[in-house]
Amino acid sequence: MTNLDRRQVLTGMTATGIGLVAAPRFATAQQPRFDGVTLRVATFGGGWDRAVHKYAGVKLEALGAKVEYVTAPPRDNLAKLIAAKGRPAPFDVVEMGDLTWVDTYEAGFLQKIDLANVPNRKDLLPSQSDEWKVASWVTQEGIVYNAEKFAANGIPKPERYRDLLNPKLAGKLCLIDITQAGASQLLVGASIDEGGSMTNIEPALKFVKDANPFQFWKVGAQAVTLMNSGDIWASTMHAGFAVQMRRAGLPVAFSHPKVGPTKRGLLKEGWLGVVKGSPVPRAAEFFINEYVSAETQFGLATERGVVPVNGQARAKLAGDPLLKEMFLLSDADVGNMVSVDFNVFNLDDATQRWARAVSTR
Amino acid sequence: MKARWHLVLIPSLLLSLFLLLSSQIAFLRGSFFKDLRLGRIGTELTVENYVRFFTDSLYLDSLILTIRLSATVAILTLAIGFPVAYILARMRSRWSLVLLAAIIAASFITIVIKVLGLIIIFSSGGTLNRLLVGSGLLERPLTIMGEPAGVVVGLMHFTMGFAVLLLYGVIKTIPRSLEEAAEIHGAPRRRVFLRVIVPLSLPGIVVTSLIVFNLCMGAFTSAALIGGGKVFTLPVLIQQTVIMQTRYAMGATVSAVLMTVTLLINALSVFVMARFDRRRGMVA
Repeated sequence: MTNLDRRQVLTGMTATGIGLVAAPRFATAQQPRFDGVTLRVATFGGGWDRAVHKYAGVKLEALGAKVEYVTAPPRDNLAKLIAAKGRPAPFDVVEMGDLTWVDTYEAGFLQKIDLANVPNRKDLLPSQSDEWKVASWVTQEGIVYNAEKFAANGIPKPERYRDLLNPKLAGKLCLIDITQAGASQLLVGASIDEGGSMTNIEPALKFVKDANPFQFWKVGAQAVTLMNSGDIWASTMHAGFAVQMRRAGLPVAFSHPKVGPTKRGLLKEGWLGVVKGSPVPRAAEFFINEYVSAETQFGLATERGVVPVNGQARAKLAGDPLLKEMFLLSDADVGNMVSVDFNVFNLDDATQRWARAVSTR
Repeated sequence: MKARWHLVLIPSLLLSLFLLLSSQIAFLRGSFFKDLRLGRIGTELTVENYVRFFTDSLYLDSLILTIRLSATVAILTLAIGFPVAYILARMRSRWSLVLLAAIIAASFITIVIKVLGLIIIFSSGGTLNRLLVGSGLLERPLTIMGEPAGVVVGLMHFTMGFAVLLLYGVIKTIPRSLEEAAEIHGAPRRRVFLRVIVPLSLPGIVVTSLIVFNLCMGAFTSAALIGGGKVFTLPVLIQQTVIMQTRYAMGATVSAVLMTVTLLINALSVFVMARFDRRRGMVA
């Protein structure tokens, strides 16, 4: 052991002291400051905005920025961007569904993201980020049903969409409205299962018409309320709603419908982008980075019931028995789910044909 | 020299025309171009959108449904609102003012809240159904959600306050002495109502009906919320075309047709009313 003289000890203590005092300051200096910056984020309402703020927004605000939320479904936010063309962008970060992303990109409303400012993307799959967009969540679309009511009325667990045509469910069923992002998954899933395809959705439209639902829900909370009041016993929704309802004490279960002979379940993806002309791109990228962090992704999954895009968060989720019950989490299961190809599926055409099929006169 | 009071109307007429035309011309112009998706429109003038509207059953059925629902609401609102307005106008009690104030206050409640209230009342486990099923009048709960009937109820809830207020003002201007004179000469109440009150309040009835009708033609919230995605009135189609499909030109076309049809129905009603008035004047 080396003996230290008094001078060496004093020098060492002084250096350690300086280090202890300076280290946090140095660390803080690595973090950018956003004093006086206001970041406007277009995202979903219904409490999603609050959850996003709780995990990601506060991190930006801790560095001096202010975060404001413009809440609406993705198509409404796209309409706002179109309406604002030629004028300053109405928000800086936009959250998009898988179809809306294609339209928003093609219309030229996005600017490139400096991926060096989004280091958390290391935990995402390579396909889940590029210079135009970063994946924000995945939902698994299917059937939420009241297990107690089904059992009491002798209705078997729905394995496929067509099982919802059970006469005992007449007037007790809700379907997602065509204006909502998950409607594409319903149309594609029901079509393929009945011999159609992403281009031939006639079988799905027949299914929707035959189902004659109590309502087509436009806001998830609408279907949750109807399920809670007993007006409906089943609805096509994503698994996250089943998680939320079960946590609220409703006896619901979730079914990932079989699609055709081999596939099971349907995927929907969310994306984040920076709006072209945003005056605060660095703050936008910081926000996106926080959004896809393991902490935010795990928080959103447990609170709101989406499947994380962050691998660390997904691994942590497997320990939650409820989420394990509701979600398909293994790579094999996820790989066997159906994704809608929006280069093939024509939503505009589907929307008009939907109106003809379901309109009450 | 005779005062030309009608000249006072000119500034307000010019202002109304300016506000109407300045906002609508750009919109109308857009309806004569082709949609190129994502809010973009073509450069060549075309009537393709109008041809499509009048040859496509989706739009025509929607137009007919919108007119039918609006007319039904106007008639039913009048049938319920007129007696209420008459009683309030003829009440000597101070309660009449309290009741009138209640109607005015109810008119200020936003339509969304009103519609949500209806959804609660008419849900399977709602007050009305519990009462009807509990009393044995119904075997199973009745619902009007997702049906045109539900939309009619929602629109009536929205317009009733306005109708009662308008009719109250009209009935107040009819001297009570005219009714008393008819009664003194032996006319029964029914005859007094049909031969004195209704003819004298006819212009007010027509105006009220038209206002209610116009409000319903453009109403979106009731159809969207109570209609449950199954009742496609023109405003619902416009919202889908503009917001969902970002087809601004077609959205403008549907709006233009809606506005034109509404104006035509109003003009026709005023024309018929004027002729009726002239004939009545000649008979008198």
